Amino acid sequence: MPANLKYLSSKGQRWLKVTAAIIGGYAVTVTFHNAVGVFLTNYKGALIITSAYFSFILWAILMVFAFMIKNGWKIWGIYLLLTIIFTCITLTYR
Amino acid sequence: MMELKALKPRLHNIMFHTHTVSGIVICFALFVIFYAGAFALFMDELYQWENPNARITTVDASKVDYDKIIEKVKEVHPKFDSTKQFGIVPPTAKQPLSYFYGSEKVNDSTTTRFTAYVNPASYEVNVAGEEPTTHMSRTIYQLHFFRQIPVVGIYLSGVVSFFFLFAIFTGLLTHWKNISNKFYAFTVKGKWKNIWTNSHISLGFITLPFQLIYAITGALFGLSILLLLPTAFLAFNGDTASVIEAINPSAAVKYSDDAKPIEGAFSYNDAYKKVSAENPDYPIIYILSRNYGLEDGTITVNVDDSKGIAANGSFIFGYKDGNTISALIPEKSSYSKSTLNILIKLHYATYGGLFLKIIYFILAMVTCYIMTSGVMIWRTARNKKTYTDKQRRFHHKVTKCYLALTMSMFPAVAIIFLANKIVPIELEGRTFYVNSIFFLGWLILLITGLFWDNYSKLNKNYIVIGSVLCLLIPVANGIFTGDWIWRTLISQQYYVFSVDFTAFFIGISGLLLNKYYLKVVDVTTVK
Repeated sequence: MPANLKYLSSKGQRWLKVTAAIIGGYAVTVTFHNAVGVFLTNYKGALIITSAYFSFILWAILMVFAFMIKNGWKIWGIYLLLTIIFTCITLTYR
Repeated sequence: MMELKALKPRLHNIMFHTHTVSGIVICFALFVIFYAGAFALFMDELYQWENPNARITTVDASKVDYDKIIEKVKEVHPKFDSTKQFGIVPPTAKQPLSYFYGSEKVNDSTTTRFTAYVNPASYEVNVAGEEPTTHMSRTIYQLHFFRQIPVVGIYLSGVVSFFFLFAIFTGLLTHWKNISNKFYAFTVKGKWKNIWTNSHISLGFITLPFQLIYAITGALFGLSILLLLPTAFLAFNGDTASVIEAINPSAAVKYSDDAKPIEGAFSYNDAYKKVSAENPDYPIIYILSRNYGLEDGTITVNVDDSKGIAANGSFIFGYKDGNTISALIPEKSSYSKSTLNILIKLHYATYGGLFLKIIYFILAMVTCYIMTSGVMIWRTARNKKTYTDKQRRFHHKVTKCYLALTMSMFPAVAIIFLANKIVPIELEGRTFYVNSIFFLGWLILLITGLFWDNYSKLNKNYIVIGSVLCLLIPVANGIFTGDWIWRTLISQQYYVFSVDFTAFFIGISGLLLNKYYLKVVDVTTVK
């Protein structure tokens, strides 16, 4: 049986979720690792190499999560907010 | 039996749908990646088979005079510039010829790379130019990250790997409830739709760790630029060089463009002896130098026993005095300096010997099967009256194109093995001819397959063609090199023998499978 269409979102909502998943998820992933990194200044090598594999895992999880939320605007809001918070942490403590 | 809770209906359907869409979009490219990659695992092992000039008696690598090799290359190839980076691969049982990778001056501003093969017993040097003499397994290797597509190929493979990770996560959540009950209900009897579904779930679960390794490392190798640039920008103030230095110690050594030539006190042989005396259990796999013959020159020795996940090391010595500049000791290097190598070893299966590579090969083939079963589930579930004829024709076309592309890879890989033997070894620019035969042959097979409207007929035809071509592989090797399968067995040339034998075994198995098992049944109701 294919997936039941009644649970899937409208076209506009779908585009919001797809873009939030890919672009928003990427922005959160990158800014998260950098925010963590500013507190680990003596472990920059370890940070880089950990982010090399963990980034993809986190990004994919954020992609899955984006589709779980009913409202596409809401998920964009969450990811934008997280991106801003992590960027502020990075810029404040670097 | 373990009971797993199902997701709520809304979540289940969302995961199901995203799994289906991402799976169908990536399956074409991902199958090619896994199928070609499975063969690329054996790149080194295939080497003697593909290059008959390499079928010589193995010389003990510790008895080779590496400085003499450098002298010989200078004699044979006067344009060789020894101040640029060059390196020597010591001979091994797999590859009894020693490789020499160097640079040559074209004019004052440009240099090009060249490869030379050195016979470690007679020190006879053959310069091959930028491309090596035989390119068969390298072509297959390059196909697995779409190197043949200019510029974007590798990124495409990275994107596909990343969406594969997404498909793994959504697939795991979709089938969560069925993981254990379908696992025990696995059978090859009953309706095909059930066989596809059960095997998709249970084999998918078995191969999950293997697939996670490849999804993550594949995405990393293809898309590292996506991570490197922002990290460099934010954590290292835009300094990409120091990012690389943090994980790769050799990048931290600085060289001057106007270093003066000196007579160094340290040579390749000294470096080889020093490292092998200090690390007797770790074979030396590569010796390279930069600014060789200049005052700031270095000689680097890389070791790896290919048995442990962290069993590789790297030692850098000064050319001037032989002082150790940096040492990465096997099994003892730090997390930040060893992790990249661990990820590489996980991807290339170079941490557990030949047996591990065979397990990897089988798991890669199972992964290919999981993709095909996924496509078959997708199409069977949609082959119903609730869909319009137009929709059903579309589902049929996608399935047919997928099957033609993927199943034709079986005969296509056999074609490149044959082309490698049929195109004469001395022919100038032979790589081009071998690759053209491979890609054109594959294209013709693919297009022919699109005319076989019945899936089981398509499957059967490709298996028969592929099996016959496989049986020709040992024959071609016998005719063109004189090394018939029984001769290589008697003379214990196992790297040559095992390729011929495997091809023969696959060919026979394919024909037996065809005779006793494959029947043409019509499941393709929409034409």
